[in-house]
Amino acid sequence: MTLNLRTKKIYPTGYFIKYLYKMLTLWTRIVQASFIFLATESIGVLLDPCGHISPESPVVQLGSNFTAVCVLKEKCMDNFDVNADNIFWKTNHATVPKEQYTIINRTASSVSFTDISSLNTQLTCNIYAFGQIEQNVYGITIISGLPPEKPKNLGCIVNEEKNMMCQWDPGRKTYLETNYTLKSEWATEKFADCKAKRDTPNSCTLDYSPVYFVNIEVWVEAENALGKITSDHINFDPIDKVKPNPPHNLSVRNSEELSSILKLAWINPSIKTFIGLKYNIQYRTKDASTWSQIPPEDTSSTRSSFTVQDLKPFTEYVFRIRCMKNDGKGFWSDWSEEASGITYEAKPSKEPSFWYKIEPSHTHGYRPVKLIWKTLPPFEANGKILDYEVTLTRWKSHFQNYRVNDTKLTVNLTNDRYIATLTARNLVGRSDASVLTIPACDFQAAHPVTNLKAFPKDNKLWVEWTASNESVNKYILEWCVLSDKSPCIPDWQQEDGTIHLTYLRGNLMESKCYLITVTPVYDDGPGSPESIRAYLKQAAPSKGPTVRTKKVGKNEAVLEWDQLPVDVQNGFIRNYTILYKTALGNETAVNVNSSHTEYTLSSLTSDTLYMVRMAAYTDEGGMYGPDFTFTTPKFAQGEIEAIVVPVCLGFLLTTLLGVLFCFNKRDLIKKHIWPNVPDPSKSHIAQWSPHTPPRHNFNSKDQMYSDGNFTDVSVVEIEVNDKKPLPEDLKSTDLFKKEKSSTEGHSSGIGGSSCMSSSRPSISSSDENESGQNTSSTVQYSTVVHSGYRHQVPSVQVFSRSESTQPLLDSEERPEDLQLVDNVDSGDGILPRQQYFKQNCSQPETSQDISHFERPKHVSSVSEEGFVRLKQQQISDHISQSYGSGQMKMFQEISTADDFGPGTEGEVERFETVGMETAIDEGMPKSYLPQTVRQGGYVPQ
Amino acid sequence: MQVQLTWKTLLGLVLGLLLLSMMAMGGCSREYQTLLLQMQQQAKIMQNTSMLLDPYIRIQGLDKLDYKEHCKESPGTFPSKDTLQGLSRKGFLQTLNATLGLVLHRLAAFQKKVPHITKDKDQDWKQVSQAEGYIRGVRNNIFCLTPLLNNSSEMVTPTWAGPRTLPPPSLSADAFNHKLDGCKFLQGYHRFMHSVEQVLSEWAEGPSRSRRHSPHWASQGRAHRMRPSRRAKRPV
Repeated sequence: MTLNLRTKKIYPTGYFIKYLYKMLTLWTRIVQASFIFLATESIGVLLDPCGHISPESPVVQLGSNFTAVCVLKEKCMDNFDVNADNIFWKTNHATVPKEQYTIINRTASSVSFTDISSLNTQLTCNIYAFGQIEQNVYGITIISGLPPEKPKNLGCIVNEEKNMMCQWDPGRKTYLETNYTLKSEWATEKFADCKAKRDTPNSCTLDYSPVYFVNIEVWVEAENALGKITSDHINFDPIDKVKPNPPHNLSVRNSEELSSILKLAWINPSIKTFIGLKYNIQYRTKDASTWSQIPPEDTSSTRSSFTVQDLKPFTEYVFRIRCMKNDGKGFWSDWSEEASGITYEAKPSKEPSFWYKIEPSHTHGYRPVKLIWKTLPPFEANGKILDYEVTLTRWKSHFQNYRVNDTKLTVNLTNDRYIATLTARNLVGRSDASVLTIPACDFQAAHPVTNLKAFPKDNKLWVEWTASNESVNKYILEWCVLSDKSPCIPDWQQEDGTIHLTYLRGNLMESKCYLITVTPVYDDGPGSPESIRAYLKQAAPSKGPTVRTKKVGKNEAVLEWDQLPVDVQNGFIRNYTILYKTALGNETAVNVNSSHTEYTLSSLTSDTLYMVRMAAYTDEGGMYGPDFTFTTPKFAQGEIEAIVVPVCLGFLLTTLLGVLFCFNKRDLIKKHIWPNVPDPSKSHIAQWSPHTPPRHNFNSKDQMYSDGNFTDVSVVEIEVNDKKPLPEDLKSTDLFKKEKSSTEGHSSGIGGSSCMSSSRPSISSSDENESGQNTSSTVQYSTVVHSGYRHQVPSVQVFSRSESTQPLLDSEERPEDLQLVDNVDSGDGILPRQQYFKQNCSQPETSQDISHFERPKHVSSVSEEGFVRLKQQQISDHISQSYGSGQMKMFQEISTADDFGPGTEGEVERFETVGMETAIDEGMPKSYLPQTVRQGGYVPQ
Repeated sequence: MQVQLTWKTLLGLVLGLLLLSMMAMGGCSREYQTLLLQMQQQAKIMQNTSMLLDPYIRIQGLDKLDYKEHCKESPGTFPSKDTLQGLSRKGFLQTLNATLGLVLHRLAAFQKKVPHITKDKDQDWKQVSQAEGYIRGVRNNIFCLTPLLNNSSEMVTPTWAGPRTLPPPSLSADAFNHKLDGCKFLQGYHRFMHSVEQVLSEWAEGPSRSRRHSPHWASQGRAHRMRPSRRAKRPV
């Protein structure tokens, strides 16, 4: 309304008033109805409801029919203008169909429901006030459920001195609050009811102890809103339902007289004064889990002690006891607290297991024998073993006794046969003797067991064998773990001679290889041992085999591997599996017998990388080793040789044929490639100088040098053509060339080649070119210097002139000759050669000596320094020897200067340079006339 | 415990009890022998001084006393064994019932003198209460057994003709003597129950040993089966 007024729409006044009136009426009714509704719902207690439903709080049995009636009050009917026709019903806010309504009269209407199935239903009676406003008049809750069933199986138990508890089966669920009451009475009096708790509707405990020997009648009454029912009555004497308290203070005592008994004593429960009791006595050894029971007929009467017999000596037993009414009526008490006791000792019931080992170290005539035995298990020791007594008998009259606390004894025995006996002693007595024959040294063991087998079963390792035909006293079973890392430390056990199947009573491990040995023991000593390997439980190997190639061929490869160490085998290797594949191909598997250690893979592809891996399998699985790769070669073995050898042979043959061909055609070849060069020694110069000494025979070097004479040939090459002056660097190079020539002692330029220059290829190459050019345009002269023998001045100075352009073959090809010449230079011949050099390079003027001392600044080459020094040394040497002319004095001065002044070197250089400059001084006219060589000076002629 | 009952009172009680038994036998054993054995066991329990006298002595502080010297049964307080053996079965049961009723009466008077809170915690008081329950149990069994003794001739057999009244309370105002009276009374009670047990044992041995006591075996079972109502009221 307010909203409507706030709108700005303008309506006609009449219409507005009419509308307002209508709205006011409606709102008045709504508010009125709401008020009534609220009043009815919220404060119904304070306000008088418009009607009511009958029944008010119905409890309906599930599955039954139900009818409710709503009665309106007259006042309300008038106020709201309603009657019974306007009543409608709702269950859980859902309107009930009108078909279920019945109009009883103007004020009452009923609704009927069949087969009620809902446990809780909200039923409301409603009206339409003023014909259109829904209004709740009254509401009820219909509770549904079931009546209690008759309790069954009622039974009671009387806990001695405490209470009586009765139990029953309450039957089906009622869905309603149901009370169970335990009722009890005597003929002469009733007892207080016992109401069962809500959470335990099937039992109730009376908090008093009933009187015995008076029959009591007990029953259960179950009651809820839908009914009440009682169980059958039971009538009993509480003493017949009693559960006694357990016997207490149970004690156990042994007897020194009898090691097989224990005496029990206890205190009976107080109910013993009313009734006779019978007992259950149970016992077990301390470590056992199951109980043994004394026969009930032995404990069927009231008592407070009992002697338990047939027990094992020196064994701890645990006892417990319970009781009940001896006529069997009632219930067993709880078990008493356990009590334990130990039977007294008895003498050991069995002899210890006895065996021996002969130690490896032998002394002459004696052998160390280690006697070993096993401690008796408690059930055979029958007490604490105080010590063992060992007796050794060699002959029947010879005894050796030992008392040992340990379980081994090492004795040195002779090589004779011994009988060893062993007894164990405890507080009460000795065991029977265990006898062992230690045979003589020369005893030959025989008669082994046959068909020795070992197999695991039930987590034990069983050993089975077939006895030999001989009478066996006992068997000794020894076993140890086979390992590559640790030695075999055997454990052992003894079995009777009648046993053919037993299991190893040691702490065996899985996946370990055991070497089991069975030795029969006869009267005269042990028989031959038989061994077998076995596993308690196999597993897959810890590691796989490492495969490698033994040989790889073009189409096959031989793989090899080592047997797996026993420590990683974990079982018997049954087979190997080899998997191999190429980089792209499928994997191929090959199974190989476990006895093999190599395998040949065939049908491989050449020049291919193969990857191989290998697994070893036991019965329990396999393990792969590391991957291995190899490549097959492109060619098979010998294939290369088959190709190369023929090729080589062919080449060799071709070469041979070529050589033969060349040999046959050598003249033709020589003619074209290697023309004949005239022999200078056969040239006309010999005729030109008729005094040529016959030793100038170039064909024979031996002859040439045999007498130590030296023939020096110097070829002076003079350019006829004008040449432009060389640049400085080239000059220096030229100088170097000259210097080289001088170092060699000689230069050769005749015919473009020199017999000396060819030994220095790095320089002579240009020389040769140069000389090659010059050869054709130069007139060659040669001066043959024939030095005197042993510093003797030759009487005749020979000059020869060659017209030949042919190089001096022999000396050209033999650079060593230069060396030889150098050596000769260092001797007597140095001075003439030096002079000769100067002769070639200086001006033919008498004052030349002066002049080249006056030009100290002209040339200085660092590279020449060593050479100069050498020359200086040589010069000084020569001076020091025999020359006494004025010129020699001059050299002596130089030498002295060299010794004392830094400028000496330069001076020497200058001395050298003068000659060279002279040689390259193109501006000056050169004399090509033969020169007379004199000792001690050079005078151009 | 200074209750004095007359013969008329006792007889009235017994007759009333019998009358009621006809109406309600709920909780009773139907077997004569069973009832007999139960009563025997009850008598055996009751003769034990640990059931009543010992707790009483401790409660009264008489435990340092040589009660054997001072707590001697006053003669004539309870019927002797011979007396009981001389009674008919019904007379025996009536005598037993009446005597136990008097004991209960005296025990109730004794218990009234001690604060309730103390009794709950004390084991001796619990023992006294248990003994009281056993006495009521004996009387219940008498109630159950009596209908089974369907011998009209014995109905007229007189009961115990000894002292018609229980011993009067000691005239001594001395509290110690008062305690001793109770002690003597209980001593007599245990002795009496011993006698009862012996008599009942004779009953159990059969008619050959006691010609006077012969229950009507044939009728007893039927009587139980024909029990009109299992509802019973307390006879006292």
